[in-house]
Amino acid sequence: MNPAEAPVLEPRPAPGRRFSPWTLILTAATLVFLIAATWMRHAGDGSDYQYYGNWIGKDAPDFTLTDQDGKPATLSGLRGKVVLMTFGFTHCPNVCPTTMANLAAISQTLPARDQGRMQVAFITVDPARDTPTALKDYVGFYSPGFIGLTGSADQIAKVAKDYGAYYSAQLQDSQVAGDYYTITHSAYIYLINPEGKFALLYDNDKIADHARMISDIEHILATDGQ
Amino acid sequence: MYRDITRAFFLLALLLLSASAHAGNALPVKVEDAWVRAVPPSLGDTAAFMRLENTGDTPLLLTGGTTTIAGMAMLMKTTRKTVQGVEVLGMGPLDSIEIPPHSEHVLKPGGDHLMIMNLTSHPRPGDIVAVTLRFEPGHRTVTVEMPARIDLEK
Repeated sequence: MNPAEAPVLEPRPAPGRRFSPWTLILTAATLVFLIAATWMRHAGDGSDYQYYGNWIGKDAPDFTLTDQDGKPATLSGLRGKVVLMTFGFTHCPNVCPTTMANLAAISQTLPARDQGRMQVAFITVDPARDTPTALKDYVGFYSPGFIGLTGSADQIAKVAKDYGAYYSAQLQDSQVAGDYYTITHSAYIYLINPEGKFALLYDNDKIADHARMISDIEHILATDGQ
Repeated sequence: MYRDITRAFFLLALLLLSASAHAGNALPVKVEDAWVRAVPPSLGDTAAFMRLENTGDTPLLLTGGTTTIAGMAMLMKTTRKTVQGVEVLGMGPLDSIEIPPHSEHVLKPGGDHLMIMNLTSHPRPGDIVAVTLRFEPGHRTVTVEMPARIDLEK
């Protein structure tokens, strides 16, 4: 038999094509994967992690207030740490003690290596009564590392507005003992990432789940706040 | 013979009466996981939290309480409303809390609680505080000793 006329026993790529179908399929699959990974990264979360808080992802407006030692304090001065910020006042009868107790527990339960990378800041909506000394006693009760911030009425009003926080002074109900005024206020917790971005917003109820809060904080610290 | 039966009958009646009187006076309530929130000295108010179980067959009404560490205690509920698109928490008084038979009611942060006002002494974490709870029907009370804590998990 003439070898040129022998039947072709093995499959061969069609003339004109250099690569097998499998190479093409693998290349296409790799490209699709890379595109998907890049696209997901741009969606604001570089992994499959589901944040417990509400993702905001905007610039955190800076502010200059007075801390519990009477010194000027800015938000930008806290860069490099995860900041958990909340608004309240030291005479707040229920919500603020609950919030502060939860934040204290979270800061103590955070892994030891990360405790120095988290900062709690309590901003008063009652600058008339909450002097630096009053704030120092108050936040110091919960943790020596907590920051308390006060300022002029205008400064406080501006920060509250920048972060969508509501507050309103009211005379105490005569039904409740005491005749001092109370302040109704929103009690969200704001998470600012180490790069100074307003990353996450938490309803007040949410911070009672310390494990999930710590999970969010750890993820922010590990992923540089993506 | 009839005298014996009559005596036996009266004795039995007395026994039954005294048994029901006992059940009537005993407060069928279990109080568990009770704690008072320890607060900074600048605060004049705090709150007590606990799980209350009505182990009886009829509804119980928790109407209030007193404590040795403060001038006044009253039941309050946490309120939520939306103001200018933002959630605002507050408090409102509660006249009483009804606990149906064989049910429980939990007083907890963010929910119903016993507000303790005008503190005369500030309990520190670990101190034991006595709180007396009032129930209807029958103006019955139970006194619970509970620890002061900053947070429940401690």
